[in-house]
Amino acid sequence: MKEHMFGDNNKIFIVENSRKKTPEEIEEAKSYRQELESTRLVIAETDRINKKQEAKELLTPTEKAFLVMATREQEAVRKLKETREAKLVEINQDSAKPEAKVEANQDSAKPEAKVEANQDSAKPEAKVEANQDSAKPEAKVEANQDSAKPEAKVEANQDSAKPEAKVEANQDSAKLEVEVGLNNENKALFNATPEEKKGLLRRIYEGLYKVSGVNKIIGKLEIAYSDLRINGLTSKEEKLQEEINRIDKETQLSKKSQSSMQFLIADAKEKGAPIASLEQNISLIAKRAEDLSRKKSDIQEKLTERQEQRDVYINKRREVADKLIGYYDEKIKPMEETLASLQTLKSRLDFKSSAIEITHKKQEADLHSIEERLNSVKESYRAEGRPESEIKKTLKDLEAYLDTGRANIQKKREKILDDKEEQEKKIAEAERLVALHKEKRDEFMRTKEGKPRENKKDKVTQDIKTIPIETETISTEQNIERLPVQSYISRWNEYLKNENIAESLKKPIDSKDFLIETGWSDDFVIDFEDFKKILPRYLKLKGIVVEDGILNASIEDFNKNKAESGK
Amino acid sequence: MTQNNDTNNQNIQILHTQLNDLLEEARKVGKEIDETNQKAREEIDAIHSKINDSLAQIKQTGSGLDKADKEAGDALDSLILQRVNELEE
Repeated sequence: MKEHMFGDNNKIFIVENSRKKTPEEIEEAKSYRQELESTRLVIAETDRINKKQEAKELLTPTEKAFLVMATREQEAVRKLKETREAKLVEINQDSAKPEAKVEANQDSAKPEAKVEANQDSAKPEAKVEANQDSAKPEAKVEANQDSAKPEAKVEANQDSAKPEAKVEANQDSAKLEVEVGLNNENKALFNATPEEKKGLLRRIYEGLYKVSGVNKIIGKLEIAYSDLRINGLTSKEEKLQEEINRIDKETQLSKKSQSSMQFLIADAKEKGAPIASLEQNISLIAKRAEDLSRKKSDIQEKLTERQEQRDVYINKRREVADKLIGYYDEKIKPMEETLASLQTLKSRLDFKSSAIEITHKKQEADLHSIEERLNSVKESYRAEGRPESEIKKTLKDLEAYLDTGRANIQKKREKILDDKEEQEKKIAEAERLVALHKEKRDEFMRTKEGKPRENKKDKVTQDIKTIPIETETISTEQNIERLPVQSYISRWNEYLKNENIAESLKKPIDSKDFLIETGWSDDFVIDFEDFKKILPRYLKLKGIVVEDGILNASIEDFNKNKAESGK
Repeated sequence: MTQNNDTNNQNIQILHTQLNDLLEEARKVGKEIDETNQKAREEIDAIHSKINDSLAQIKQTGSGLDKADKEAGDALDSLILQRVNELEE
């Protein structure tokens, strides 16, 4: 007499009441209790999230994922239950056979049973089936047995009270598919896909949920170039090839047997022994060889068909990748040209901003000079005994001019700084976009060539370095040497004749062009700091590329030489 | 006394002249500042306009590439779906 016990997670324990439990059975029972515990926790959490959803509260991504996962698990459990039921029917039928128990126990440990159940976990009709199952006699037996367990009742009640929770969970699962971004045509293709393959597709596309929209195409290309037979699924082609190999071996053996048999027949004939049974055997072997040959031909046909399918897929995949890469190559070139012109604009903006800043600095120095003389006049008025009110009135207009001039400079300076920042952000955005598309093109190439992903720093998101505008305080020190800009240029050009100057720097400055670009007059006066600031920007604008270190050292050296020659 | 007053008046006159010269100089600097700012505005606006045009051009090309991504993505989806259907589990 045997008793069959079912858990909600469908572990089957087949034990004989009269027999003492083995240590393995005790261990399995413990494991079963633990699984029951975790199942209860999952149910409780699912219930909590369902309630939250019913209350129209927003679910967190983790909760959504949990709900989907729980639904899949429930379906997996249902599938496992079905498998176990089928097994149970077999066991009942074979109850007299002692090996039935062993087989059932062995099956319960098979990992592939779970894999199968997981693959089918997303089946929407599974619930319908489950309802239909309730009419099955064995399901009733199971239900009655379950009803004896308190935790099973709790679970059953929770589930039965929440039919809409399951529907919502399934809707969430379906939503995830939509999020992959299949177009209508492909959605139709997906919907027409057999349920067991939908599970495979969901797993394949799962990683894409986490990828940003920009990189989805890379993800899809990677999927297309990956081995789609994931999760331990074996290749049909490999199986067919194995079968062909097996047939070939068998055919070889068969041929050897035929030869041996023919030898035996010849020998028997010589000795006058009966050969009828031998001839019958050789005829059977020949028939078997023919069968094998036919079978091989059928399998070979199937294999060829599959290989052709695979080749078509590989070719189409390459066509898509090549078309995409070609289009990127075609479009990236003009993008890079536009970016190059933007870089020139950036250099020009930087140069102009600096030139204006130097002009403002000179104008502030002029205003300062006027103010100093104004103060001197003010003191002289006081020395002449003029009353303060009269002095104030007399100087009012001039002071107003000075204040307005300074305010205008400050206002413009701030505006230029803000504008420059805004424009540099735009240029940085353009640089980011071009770099992003170049990186994508490189990723397409890498994926197509089957190269591993490089673990490189994200160049796209790197900040674009810009030369800041220094807002200097106006130095009114008398010892700062100010020279007409023409003088600086001619001295610099003279300095470039020096043998030690880097070749890349040995390009004299066209003073006329320099004055046009800066907007300065012939007699515009600058100091060394101004020259040091404007020169690198002018050279960059004119495409004279010199390493920063070399240029700075040369400018400092130039200043030193200039000072020594002036002594 | 009269001589002192004359000297005083002359000094005041000189100061007035100096003040007028300074006023004239300040006017000139003020005008220069206005001209510098006006020219700066024109030049920088011209650069801004070109930057905007270039950025718009890059964005437009980028959106063309995004469209190509979408088309290729759909084609790949279709291929993957077909291929999975061809594969046997």
